[in-house]
Amino acid sequence: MARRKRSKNRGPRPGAQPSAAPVEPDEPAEPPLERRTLLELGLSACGLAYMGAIGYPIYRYLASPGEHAGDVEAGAVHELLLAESDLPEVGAGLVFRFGARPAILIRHGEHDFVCLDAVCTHMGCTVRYEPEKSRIHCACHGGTFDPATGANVKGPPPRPLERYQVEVRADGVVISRS
Amino acid sequence: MASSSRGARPSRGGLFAWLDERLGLTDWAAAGSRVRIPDHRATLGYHLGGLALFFFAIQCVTGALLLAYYSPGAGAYESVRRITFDIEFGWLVRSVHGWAAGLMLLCLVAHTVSAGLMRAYRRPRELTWYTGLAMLGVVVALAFTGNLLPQDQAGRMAAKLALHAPSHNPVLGPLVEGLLVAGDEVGPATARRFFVSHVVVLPTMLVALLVLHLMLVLRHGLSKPPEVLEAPDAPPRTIPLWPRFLARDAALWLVALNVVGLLAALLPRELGPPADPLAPAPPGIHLDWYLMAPMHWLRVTARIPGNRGAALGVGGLALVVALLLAAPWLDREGAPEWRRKAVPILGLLVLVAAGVLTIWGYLELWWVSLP
Repeated sequence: MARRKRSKNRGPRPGAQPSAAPVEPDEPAEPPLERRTLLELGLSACGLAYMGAIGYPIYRYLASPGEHAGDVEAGAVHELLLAESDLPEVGAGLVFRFGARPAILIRHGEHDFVCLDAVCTHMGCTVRYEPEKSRIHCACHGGTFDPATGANVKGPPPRPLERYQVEVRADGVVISRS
Repeated sequence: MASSSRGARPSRGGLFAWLDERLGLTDWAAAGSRVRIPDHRATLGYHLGGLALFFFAIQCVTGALLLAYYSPGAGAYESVRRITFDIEFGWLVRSVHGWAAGLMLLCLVAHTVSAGLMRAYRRPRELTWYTGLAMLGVVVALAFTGNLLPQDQAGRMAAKLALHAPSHNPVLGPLVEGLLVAGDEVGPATARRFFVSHVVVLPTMLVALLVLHLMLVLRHGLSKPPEVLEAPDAPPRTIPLWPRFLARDAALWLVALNVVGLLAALLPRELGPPADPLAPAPPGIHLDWYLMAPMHWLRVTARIPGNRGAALGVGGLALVVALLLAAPWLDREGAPEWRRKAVPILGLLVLVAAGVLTIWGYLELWWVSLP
């Protein structure tokens, strides 16, 4: 009797052991290998299907574009006017938001501006303009850039900072990227 | 009987053997197969706690997912609106969270009723009963606090209604106002407290109680209903916890998963208009179903003029709580026969009354909603 109970509840799912297998034999009462493999394959497929049915919505939920919509739009900014009153003094720099990224506008002379992407090309830290050392420095790994050109002069950064066009106008400067 | 052969699984080599040597999986399985679960016609009742646990797991996952976008405070309604309408599958996550909450409560109520009718509260399982009751209270609090979090008009009104109930009580009134409402009006400050309770305080309490509850269940084993106990000539049949009982549990969980998924997909949670402190209470305002019985009891007794109505209302609720708490003591060994019999009879009475009040409450709502 105990045996019969056992064979009845081998698998957790109904129908896992369809044809109430042999009653008598002891432990090695295994169904032919093929059927067992087929069964295991089917169960694995079901499990995978469930994992997919649960995992896919969770992935899409977390990766939902709703969250990044603002950034994507901001990334599409190609031109920005900085008003006269906002401009830095000669010898100083101004960090501002250009689209989704920080950019830095350095005023070398009254009408001499350089505008650079302020994100270090090494690991993406935001850089700092240090006029007293006349360099742009990244504190994360000591990368150094030339404030006049954005060229990477020291440390690990592999590329120069991206340079933006600056157009000086009566009401301020227009920053643009191609 | 079969425990030894079942415990000594043929090692499958490779990964299983590696893990088994380190985690002792075979030993755990052997220990699990030594735990025997009584097998009788009410065995389904033993699965209700596990089912509630499964729903709790769903709540943890979906709750964490909702936290990725929910923002407490002033932006709460907007963030829930975004989850519901903008974020992909956000409506599904929110709906699963809502449906699993209701089903979890339903399981817990059924679990409590089943344990009570099996008289599982008796010695030595008093603390198992009390931790269970405490968890029921915590889960009601979780559902209630969660209801306010979207900051929609319906949730705000329900919270207001319930938080206002004890305001005339000299002790509870100031306590509730000071600790929960945080001010003289249910508003963003209240929602912030509800948020902290819902996300941090109550779940932590629930997990602590749950661990204690499960330890006690393992220690004392599952209680058998009286009619099984009182038939000594036929020793009760049992099944092993591992693998049979847990396999049944797993099968039930799979069904539950599908049910929750279907309910959430076919009947998604809606989002009403945002909370407006100036808007009048909408007709047919009510709390969720699990609070319908006590709320309608208070409503009905309040129709009795004078102080007697309110006293009857609050007193009646207090008596129900007292009955639940005193059950192990009233129904203990050596107590007079009438007292031992009184517990299940009173329990059934409360159950019937709760059912009648719930249906009555919904009928009145329906009546009010008629033009």
